[in-house]
Amino acid sequence: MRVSYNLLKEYIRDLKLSPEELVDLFPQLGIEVEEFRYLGEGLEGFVLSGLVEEVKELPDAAGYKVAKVSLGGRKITLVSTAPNVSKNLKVVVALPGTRLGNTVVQRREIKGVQSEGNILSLEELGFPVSSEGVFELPEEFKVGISPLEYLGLKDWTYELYVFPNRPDLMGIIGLAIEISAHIESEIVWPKVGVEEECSDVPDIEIVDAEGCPVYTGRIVKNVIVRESPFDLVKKLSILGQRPINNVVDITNYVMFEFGQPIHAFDREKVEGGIVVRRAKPGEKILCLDGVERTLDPEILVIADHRKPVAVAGVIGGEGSSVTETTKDIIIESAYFDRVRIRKASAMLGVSTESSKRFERGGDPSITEVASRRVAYLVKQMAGGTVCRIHEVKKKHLEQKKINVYFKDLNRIFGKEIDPLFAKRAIDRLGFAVHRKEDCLEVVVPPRRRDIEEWEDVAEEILKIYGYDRIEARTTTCGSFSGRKLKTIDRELKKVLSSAGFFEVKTVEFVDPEELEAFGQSASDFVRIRNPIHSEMSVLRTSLLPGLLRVASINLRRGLDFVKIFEAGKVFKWRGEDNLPEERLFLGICVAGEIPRTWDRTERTIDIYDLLAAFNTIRVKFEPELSLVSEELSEMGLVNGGVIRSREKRIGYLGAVSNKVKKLFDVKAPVFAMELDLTEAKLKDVRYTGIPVFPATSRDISIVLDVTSSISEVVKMAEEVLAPFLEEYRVVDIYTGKPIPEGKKSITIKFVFRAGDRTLTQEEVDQKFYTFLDLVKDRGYEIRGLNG
Amino acid sequence: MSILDEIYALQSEIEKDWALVDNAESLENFRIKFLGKKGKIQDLIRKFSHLSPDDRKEAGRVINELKRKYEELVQRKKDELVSLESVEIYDLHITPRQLELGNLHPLSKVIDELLDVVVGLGFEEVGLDQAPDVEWDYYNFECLNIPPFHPSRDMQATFFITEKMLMRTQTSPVQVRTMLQRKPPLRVVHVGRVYRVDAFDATHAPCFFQMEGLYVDKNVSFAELRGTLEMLVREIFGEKAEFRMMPSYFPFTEPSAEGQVKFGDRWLEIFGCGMVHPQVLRNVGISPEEWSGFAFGLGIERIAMIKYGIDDIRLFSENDLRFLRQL
Repeated sequence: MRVSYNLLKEYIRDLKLSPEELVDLFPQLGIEVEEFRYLGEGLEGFVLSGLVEEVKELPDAAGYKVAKVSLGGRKITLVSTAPNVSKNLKVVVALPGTRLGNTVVQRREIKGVQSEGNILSLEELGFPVSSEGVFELPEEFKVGISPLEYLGLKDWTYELYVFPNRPDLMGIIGLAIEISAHIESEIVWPKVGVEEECSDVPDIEIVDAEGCPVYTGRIVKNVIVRESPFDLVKKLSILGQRPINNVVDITNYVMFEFGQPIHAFDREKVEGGIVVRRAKPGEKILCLDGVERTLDPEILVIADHRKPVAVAGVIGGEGSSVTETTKDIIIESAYFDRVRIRKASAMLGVSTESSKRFERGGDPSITEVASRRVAYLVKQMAGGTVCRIHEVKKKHLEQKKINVYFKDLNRIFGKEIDPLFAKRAIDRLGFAVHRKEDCLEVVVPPRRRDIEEWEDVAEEILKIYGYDRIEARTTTCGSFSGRKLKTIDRELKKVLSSAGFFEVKTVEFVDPEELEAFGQSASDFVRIRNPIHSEMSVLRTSLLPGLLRVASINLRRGLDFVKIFEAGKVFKWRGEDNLPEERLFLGICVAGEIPRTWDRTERTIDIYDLLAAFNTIRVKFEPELSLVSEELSEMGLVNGGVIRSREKRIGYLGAVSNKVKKLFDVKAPVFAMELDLTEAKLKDVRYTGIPVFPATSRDISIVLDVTSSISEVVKMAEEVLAPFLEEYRVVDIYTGKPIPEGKKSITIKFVFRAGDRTLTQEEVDQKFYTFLDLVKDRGYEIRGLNG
Repeated sequence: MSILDEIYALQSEIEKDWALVDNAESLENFRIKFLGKKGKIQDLIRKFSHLSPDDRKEAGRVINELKRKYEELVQRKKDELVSLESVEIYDLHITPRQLELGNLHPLSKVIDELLDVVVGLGFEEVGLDQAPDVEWDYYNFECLNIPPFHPSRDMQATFFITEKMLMRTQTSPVQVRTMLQRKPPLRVVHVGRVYRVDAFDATHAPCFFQMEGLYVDKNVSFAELRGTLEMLVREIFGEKAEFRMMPSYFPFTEPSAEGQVKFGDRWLEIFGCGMVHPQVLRNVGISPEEWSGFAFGLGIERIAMIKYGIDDIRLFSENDLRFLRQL
C-alpha cells in the first residue's frame, strides 16, 4: 500500500508530525515502511516554470525545434522534439543538474545548438503516464518559480507493508484513523453528500449468496467521460495508479481512500440486469488487461443476462468498461467472500489492487458510503444525474461484542494497567466501549473484522501504550531445567571436525538424476510439486550427491583436496497418506591430491583417507561397526564395502565410479561413505586402566595377489592370538623385485600384552607359531618373520 | 716404588690423557680407562690391602681426592658436550609442518551457542521425532490459525508435495506437536530447517534454519517475553546491545511482536514473537482460561550473518572450504 504525506494530511486534522517523524511512527502501529521517498528529490532547485517566447524549427533536422524560454529573470535557449512546444506556452523547465531517474540533465550541443536545459513531460517527471508532448502549465502560472508544489511533487511517499489481517489499513482513511488514535487527532471525513435525483435502479440478482453477501448498484445518467482534472491525475499518480478517465479514476481513487474496491460498468453494455453467480464451465471473458481468460465454476462473476461482464472483485471485463462514449454508468460497490476472491485470483493468476483488498476480508458495511462517495465525485467531475442506490443484502453481519477483563489485561502487560487508559485507547481507535466493574465491554466496528478475542483488543491497547514501554521481567524458570538433546550426530561432528574434516550443509532439494547415479530408487523420492527448478525437484534420499557437488565446486575452484562430511536428514516417500520417512544420515567424502611440501612428497587422496575417518568413528559406536568388502557398482561405487552394526547393514563406502565423477564434473579420485545414524548408539566411555606390563611384538610378511585382501589373515590372528593380541598394524606394503609380478608383500606387526604379568618370549612364540602354521595351511606364502 | 709414588705416576698419566679428551668418545674412553669398575684407579685401590693401616689411610685420602676430582671433571665435560651436540641450526621462517584442522559449519556453531543460552534459561530442546521437515498442512498452517486460502499464507510461499503435505515453512508446527503430546507447563526450544519458495540470491534461500522457543504456564506475561528476549540479545550480541519491540502480525500469536536489535543506526528484525494465540491453545486441547504462553522464533542464518559479517546467504550452502575455514 502506497500513501503520501500530503494525502494523509487531507484526512487528519492538524497533522503535526513531519514526514520523517511519520516514518518512525508507522512501525509502532505494526506497519512496516518498505520505502520512504521525497518526490522532489533531484528536482528541487533545478526545475522552474518557464514561458516559451520563441520557437524555430531547425532547418536540417526534422522535428527538432529551438525554443527561447523565459525563466523570469533570465532567458535560456534549448532544443526540444516535443510536438506541442509552441509560443506562449507555460512549461516546466529542467536546468542542468536536474536528476530524472538515473539520468542527469546536462548542457549539451544538439544539432549544432547549445541546449541549456529540457522542457519536461509528465512522464519525465515520473508520472505513470505515457506523454506525447511536454506538460502544459496553466496560462496564469507564474514564470520563474518552482512548479513542484503545483505538480504534487513537494510530497513524500511511503511504501507500506500491511499485514494480511488488516484490510482496513489498505485505505488512506484506515491509516488516518490508526495514526489519529496514536497522536490524538481527529479524522476529516471526505464529502459524500449528493442528491439522488432519480429512482432508476439496476436489476440485481445474487445467485451465490455465500460468495456475495452484499451487492449495491447505482446508476448515474448522462455523465461526460473525459480526462480527469489534474488534481485527481496527480493523486492517482502518486499512488502508483495510471489515470484512465474521470469515471474509472474516481472508482480507483475511492478504493484507495476507503479500501473498498469499486467497479463502474457502461450501463448500455450490461444486457438486462446484473447477476452475481458462479462462472459456467468453459465460460470466457476478455478482461480489462486485454487477456481473454477461461473461467471455472469456482470463480464468482458479475454477469448480465447473457454473459459475464466482470470477474467479481478481481478484474473487469473489457466489453462493459466505461469509455469516452459511455453515457450512463452503473457503480458497483459490493462485498465478496474473501476465499472466493482468493481462489479466483489464484486460478487465473491475476492479482489486482481490488483482489488484494477483497481477499483480506474488508468491511461489508462500507459499501453504501463508498458508493455515495463515488456518486459525489462523479457529479463533481463528470456531471450527470445521480440515481438512488439499489442494495441487495443476503447476510446480516452480527455486531461483535467482547468483554475484556482487567485481570487478563494486567496479566499480559505484567503490571496493573489503568482502566481509564485502556478505555480511552480503544475509544480513540473507534471502538464503542463501556466500562464495567471488572471489564471493558467492547463493540468491534465492522471495519475491524480481525478483532475476535480479548487478546486482539489487548494488542490494540498495547500498541497505543507502546510495545516498547513494557518493562522486561525475568521469567521464573525455577521449575524448569533446560537441556540440549544428546544426539549422536553432534558427537560425531566434534570427532570428525577435530580430525581434519570440514562440516558442510547442503540443500535438501536435489536433482533426481544425481540420486539415481548413486543407485537410489526413484520410487523412494519425495517430489516437490512446485520446485524452483528441476535440479532441486526431489528431496535427497542420500547425502552423497550434495557432498559430491561440494567436492566438485571446491576442486574446480582450485583447492587441492577436500575432506568433508555432512550430518542431515534424508527422506523416503511412503505414499500420500503418510509423511515420508525421515532418517538421520552421516556422509563423508574425500577427494583430490595432497600437494608436496618440504617434509613430504605429494600423493593423491586414497581410500585409506576415508577409512581413517571410518576407523576413528567406528569404535565410538555400540556395538562397534564393522566393514565387509562388497560389490557396490550399481550404487556408483567401486572397491566398495558395506558397514555393519552387528549383522545389520547401516552404511557403505567406496571409490566413486568414473561415470558418477563425470556427472559431477570431477576428475580427481573421490571416495565416499554414508551411514544411517537413526538407530545408532554411541558407546559409554569408561576408563580401562593403563597397561603396566611390557608388550612384545612379532612381525610377519606374507605374499598375496595384488587384488587379495589381508582380511582372512587378520581374522585368523584375532581368533588364534587371543587373548594376548593387543593390536596389529600393517607396517609395510611392497611390490617389485624380488616379489613376483601381480603379487604384493604385506608386513603386519602384532603386539602382545597380558594385563596381569609379563609375557615370556616362549609363550608368545608358541602362540605365534600356531598362528603361522595356520597361515601356511591356508596356502599363504610367508616371506619373512621378525621379532 | 711407594704406593704414593704410584698414585702420583697415575695422576700424571691421567693429566696427560685428560688434556687429549675433546669429544664424547674420547671422554667415554677416558672414563672407562681410569674411572671405570675395571679402571686404573680401581686397580690401584685393590693394592691397598697390603698396606699398613696408616699408609692405607693416607693413600686412600690422596686417591679418593684424585678420583672425585676427575669424576667431577668428566661429568662437567659430559654436560658441556651434550649441550654442544644439541645445537642444530633451524630457520624459524620455514613454513612449518601443517596441522590438518577441520571445522564445524558456522551455522552449527551458531546453533550450538544459541542453544547454550536458551537452555541456560531453562528451555528443554525437543524435536528428535516430533519435528518432521515434511509436514502436514494441518500442523504447519491450520492448527496455527492459518486456514486454506488465508492471505497470510502469502507471507510464507510454500513448497507443496501433495495438497495436504508440504515442506514446513516454519518451526512452529513443533509447538503444536509438542503441546499435543505433553501437558503444560512447558518450556521447550527447537532448531531445524524450514523451507520457502524463494530462489537463491544474496539475502534469500529456499531453505534456512530457524529456532523456536515456547513457554506455556499459568500467568505468562508479555513482560516475561520481553525479559527473556532481552536476556537472549545480551548473551548473543553483548551487554550493550540495544533492543526494542514493535507490533507485528502472526496468525498464531496475539499480541504479536517483532524484536529488533540496533546495529549501527539501523534496527534489524531478530525475533518474531508474541503471546500464544488462544485459538492455538484450544486447537491442541489446552484451556486458554487456565494457561497462557509466549513463543518466539529467530533465523539462524541472520544471526550468523550479523555475527560474522557475512553479506551473502548463499555462502552457507555453497560450502567453499575457504569460507568454512575462516569461521
